[in-house]
Amino acid sequence: MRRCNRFLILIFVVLNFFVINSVFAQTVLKGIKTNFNTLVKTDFNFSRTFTTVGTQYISNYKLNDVVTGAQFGSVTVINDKPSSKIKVLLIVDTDTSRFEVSYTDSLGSIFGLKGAFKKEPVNKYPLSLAFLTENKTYVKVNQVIRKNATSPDHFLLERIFADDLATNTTVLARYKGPSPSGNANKILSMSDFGVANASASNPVQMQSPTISTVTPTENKKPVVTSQTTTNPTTNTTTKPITTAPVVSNTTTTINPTNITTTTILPVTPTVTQPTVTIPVKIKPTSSNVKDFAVDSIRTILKPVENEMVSVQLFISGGTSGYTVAKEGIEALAIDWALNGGIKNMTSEQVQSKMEQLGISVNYKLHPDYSVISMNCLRKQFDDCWQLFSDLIARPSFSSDAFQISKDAVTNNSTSQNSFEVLEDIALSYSFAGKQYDKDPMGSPATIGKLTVDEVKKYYSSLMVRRRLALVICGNFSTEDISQKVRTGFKGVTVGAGASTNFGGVDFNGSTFKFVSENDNNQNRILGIAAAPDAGSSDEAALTIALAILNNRINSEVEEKRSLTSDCEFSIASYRQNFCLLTLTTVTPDKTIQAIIDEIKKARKLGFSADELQQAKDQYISNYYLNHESNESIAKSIGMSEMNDAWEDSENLYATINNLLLNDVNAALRKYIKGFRFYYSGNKDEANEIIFTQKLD
Amino acid sequence: MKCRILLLFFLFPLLSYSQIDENIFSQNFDNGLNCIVVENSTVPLVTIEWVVRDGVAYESKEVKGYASLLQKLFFAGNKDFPNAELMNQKLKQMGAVTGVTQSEEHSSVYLTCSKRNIDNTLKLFLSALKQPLYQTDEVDSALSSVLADQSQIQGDAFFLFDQQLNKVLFPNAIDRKDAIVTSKIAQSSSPERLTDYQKLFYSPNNSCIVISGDVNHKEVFQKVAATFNSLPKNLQLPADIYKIPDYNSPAFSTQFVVETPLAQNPLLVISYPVPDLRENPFQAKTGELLEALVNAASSSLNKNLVNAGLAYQVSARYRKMKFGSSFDFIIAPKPEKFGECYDKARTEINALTNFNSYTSEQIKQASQLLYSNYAFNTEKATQLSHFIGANWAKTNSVPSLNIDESMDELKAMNDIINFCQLYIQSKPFVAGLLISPSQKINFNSPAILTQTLSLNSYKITFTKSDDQIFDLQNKEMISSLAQLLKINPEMKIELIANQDEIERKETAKARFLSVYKALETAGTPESVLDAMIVSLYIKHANSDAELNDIMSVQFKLIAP
Repeated sequence: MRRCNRFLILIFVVLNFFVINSVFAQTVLKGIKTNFNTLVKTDFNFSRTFTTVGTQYISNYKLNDVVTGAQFGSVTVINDKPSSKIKVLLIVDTDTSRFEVSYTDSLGSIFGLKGAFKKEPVNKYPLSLAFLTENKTYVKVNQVIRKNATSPDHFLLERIFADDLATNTTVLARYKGPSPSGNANKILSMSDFGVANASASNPVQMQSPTISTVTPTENKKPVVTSQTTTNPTTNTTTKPITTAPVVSNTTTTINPTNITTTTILPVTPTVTQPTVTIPVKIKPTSSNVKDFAVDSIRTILKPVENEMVSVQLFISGGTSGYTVAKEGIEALAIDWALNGGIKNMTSEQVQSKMEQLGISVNYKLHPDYSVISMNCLRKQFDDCWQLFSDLIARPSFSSDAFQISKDAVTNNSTSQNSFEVLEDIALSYSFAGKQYDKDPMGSPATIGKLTVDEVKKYYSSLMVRRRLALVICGNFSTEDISQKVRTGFKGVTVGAGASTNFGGVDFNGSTFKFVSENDNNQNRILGIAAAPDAGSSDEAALTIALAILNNRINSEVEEKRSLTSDCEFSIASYRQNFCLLTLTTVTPDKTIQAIIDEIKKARKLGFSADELQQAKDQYISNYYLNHESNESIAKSIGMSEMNDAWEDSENLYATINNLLLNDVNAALRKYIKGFRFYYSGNKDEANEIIFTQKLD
Repeated sequence: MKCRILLLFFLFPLLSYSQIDENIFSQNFDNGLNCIVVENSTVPLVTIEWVVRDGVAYESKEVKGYASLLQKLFFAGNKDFPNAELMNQKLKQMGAVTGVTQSEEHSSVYLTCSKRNIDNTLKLFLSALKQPLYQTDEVDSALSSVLADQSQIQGDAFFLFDQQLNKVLFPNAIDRKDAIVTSKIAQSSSPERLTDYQKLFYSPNNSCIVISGDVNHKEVFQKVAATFNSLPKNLQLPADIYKIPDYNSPAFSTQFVVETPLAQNPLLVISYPVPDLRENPFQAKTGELLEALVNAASSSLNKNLVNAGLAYQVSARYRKMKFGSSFDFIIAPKPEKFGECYDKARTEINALTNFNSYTSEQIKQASQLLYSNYAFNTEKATQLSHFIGANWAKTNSVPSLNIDESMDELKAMNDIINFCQLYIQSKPFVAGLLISPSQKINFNSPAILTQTLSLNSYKITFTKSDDQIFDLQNKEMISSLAQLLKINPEMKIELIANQDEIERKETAKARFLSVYKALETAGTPESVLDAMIVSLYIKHANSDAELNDIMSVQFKLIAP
């Protein structure tokens, strides 16, 4: 009977995997947004291709002048078998500011939307372009472009929303009849649009407790349904999170002011089988952040009105790109690129130029991603950006600098503090064989063996468009940044997205592991506990729960009993999230018992409303005091995007303020159920039984 | 009561406020309180900063250290929150982060919290300002904290050096520049005295409240008016009670040496007194530009000292103060070339008046540097709040923060040259050397490492019938005097050699000659030696036999 149950569970899990994977794949909510500049000479007669996955329903777009009717460009979708991908080719032949879009399907019939666009006092180019998925064609762009006297006009191809896909599926179905079949109909994933961190391959999200699963039926690709409203003033799209399985009956509201001539065909309700619903990627936000892609490079712009600019280039993948034996290769590759000179400039000349501009280009490694950053003045941005992008996109990798970089990286790898060392060990045990079992900084042994060729090769696979997310916080428009990114990253290949390897930890009970003896009296303890997915409402609730718990530990364990003075318990903010408890103490048993008593008490009795309000205010003050600069804002947006979505960072204030006491109490009970303890200190002073006791 | 509050709400907005910058607004209230609002919605926080014109510049000896003490006691017990614990509890509840800023001329207490707590914070400030209790245990605790901070900063060699520099630079205002607080403060800090001091310094007409963050200036002005209107204006200002002393500098160049094991690397500072902000606030921009020009790697000082291998580093520091300002050149000399470096530095500093010392490109870059420094330093709302607070205290006004980007380089160059001609070129300076005893042996010109004295303190002594300088003390005197004359080549002095009644005139002459030769050998400029006047005086017998045996050569300044 028990075996039978296990078997059923296994089937259930396997089926769920497919279902959720499919659902995630269909909730491809952010797609490519490419800028085409019709008024810049270099963009005439240009062609751009972006590869995606889909059918060959739409074979051709014509871009026609509204008045003369003359075609000035075309968009061609090329079937690119055997890779089962569709290549989209867009060609703009001449300058125009008036155009309409028409397109034909593979049978030559013109269908769908027609848009005639005229030059308004403010230029509006609500262009439509299709991206294809199986059964679905997306045709929608509503992008208002501000006219800017100093920079040329643009029109943008806006990102894709899942609900629109559904709408246009029906449009397409009306003309095409039954769905096509074939390998080319593979479902799109975010990475197909050049967006890093494709959610379809993110098992962390698959394990999300917010996902409710049902047994799939004959339709293996259920549709996530939701309502989308396009805001006419801001062009931001808000999407409520759907939490219950519903029959697909999507409603899309396109604001008529943005599309001058619109023919919306009758929508045939698409009946789908019971649907797995999951939190959607795009979250409601009133933020002014602009999120777009420039030639497949994901770009997130936070417009601000001060004179500073912070540029943070996030490169996804982290430790997934190499084996344990090659730890440190990413650090060395980036260090060498940044310090090995560029074309026409030696590393010394680059350094001197940087000093003249008063900037530095820095990098930081994280198990989930790496980030290269630069802060500068808005008025010097052009020069600074040129240098920054040259270093990243066109490094000359001078051989002299290789050993210098090697020494620098080796030095960094050995200059970790005791807790950082303990954390590395703890992660390597807890996540053995998974994403976090490697140290991105490497060790002298691994770094020492790395060769010039393999580091160069690694860099070329690392610095590809699909792995990049550029976050810029500064006084810019999207047009400003689009141009910069396009020219700055010219020559960078599209490449492949990173595949991550998450999972593997059970936090239901506690474990204890002795790691090493310490020379002094101080015993260091590190505990790892479960945490909700980054960006989930549970994450905010647990953050505040831990803040209150920290206050209690500070008062009861530190101040009253003086058992420790540096206890910290917080969410680690990794993509596969977990909590970290760290402390040093001379009395490990007593201290851990006192901390566990506080946890037990909090789990049993919960917190008070006063404690909640105090913790919210404290958290907001401390968090935002550290996020006043453009640099910290950009970092926060980028980190949120790497872990989940940039909206998390922008919504933080509201999310924290809206938390209810029940949410906070429930989050503590739900996640803090056990620790994986790692202990470095006097072995005789730590009693495993105390550490591994139940928290109920 | 309600009516009064309502009335206030309606009346105060009618008072006009001024817009200083795109997002900066200022309003003066009837009780003299100045309120400055910085709108910055980057993060949902608000910082409230109470800025006071106090500090050592306003403190007489008996109240030295009170400014620091009152800062520490700001969030201690008051009538509404009778002890610090209750106050802390309240601050904790609000999620408030508190801090202080301080200079010789101002201090501020600030609190940052979520924007929704602005009303509570204003009330908290009012409680702290209106009726502080200054209970003994809290005062004691604040005193220990002030003294602990003091012992920490006194471990900083450069702090000690600056104290000495101030003493030499502003000899008549030594107390008002001496930031060293001693334990004597404990004896004078009774609750009554602290209350008196607090009433005088924290009065609305000696204070400014800066509110920055995610706020609306009109709403803030209303709230501030309603909250702080009850604070009475003080009839006397601190400067009326603690008179501002004379900040005049010495008429001649001087030099001093601070020898301490705390010194990491030898540093030479050549400091010129320049006008204070209270006298000429507009000149500050020229001073700042000159500072940026000297700090640039391409500056003539850098080229001719650092690139020429005489120094490791050269920089400028413009101490822009309301009382007692200076323009300092800070040089890290190479010990083996110290003498050459010191001479060259003075030559280069004097040459700053030459048009060819600057290029328009350098001026442009320096102006850009000022702009970037400003942008970096004021990017955060809290930083900008501190910056505005300090400026208000020093200039009596809120400066416009707009940097003039369309700078006329020729005009800027003229201003700089004019500034250098007026205050730097061939003007008396104070040179100081910071050095550790162990570093001394590496210096090639030990004679220069000497403290100069006032001219009438120099006295070369001889025993009767003796005319040679053998004595070490005399040798040190000579090298110090030679150094004084070297840095004051315009000085005209009279050399007075005395002669015993029964001594031969030749002996006295020989003494004069030996001093003259010693001065010449020690490098006294020819111009000084040529202009020197010699006088011989007959020394009459004294009842003290020992004194009778001592003959001397002394010096006197010839009035120009």
